[in-house]
Amino acid sequence: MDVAALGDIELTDSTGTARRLGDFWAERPVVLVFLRHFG
Amino acid sequence: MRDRYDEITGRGAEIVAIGTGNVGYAKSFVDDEHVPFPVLVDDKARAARAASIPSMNFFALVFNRNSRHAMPRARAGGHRIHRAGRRVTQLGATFVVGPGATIRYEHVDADSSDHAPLDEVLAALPERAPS
Repeated sequence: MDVAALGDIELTDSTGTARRLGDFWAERPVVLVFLRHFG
Repeated sequence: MRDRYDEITGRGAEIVAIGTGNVGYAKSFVDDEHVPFPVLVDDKARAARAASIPSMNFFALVFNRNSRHAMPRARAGGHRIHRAGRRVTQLGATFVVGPGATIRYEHVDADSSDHAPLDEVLAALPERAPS
């Protein structure tokens, strides 16, 4: 996995807000889960 | 994993989920299931590609014995199965990342019934939140 490339990606959250992935784990560990489906 | 959310945040970590649907799917999931952590939409598979998440052959997915039994088992356990979104063949995966660009743990699901053992995920986290 290319964690640097992943960190630069912006995705939209459930409220429609753009979130940069790397910001989540800049200061703390993150359990990052890729879901096959919502639920 | 949601059931052990407090244990995970108690170690100073957060859960971030990434799905293949759209914002509507994600909002429905968060609202219906009272999901307390951020849920993001990877509609163009940019994150999945960067994380090297593989896909499963569609027919292998449909006819895989483990996959076939996974949905009834989840429903029996009281889970609602929401829509899969665009990439039904994309497998799931769990990583523990950070702080910073450090990968502490990774588990790519072997099929749709496979998931990262929670004890392994917790073992990859700090014992407690930094003070």
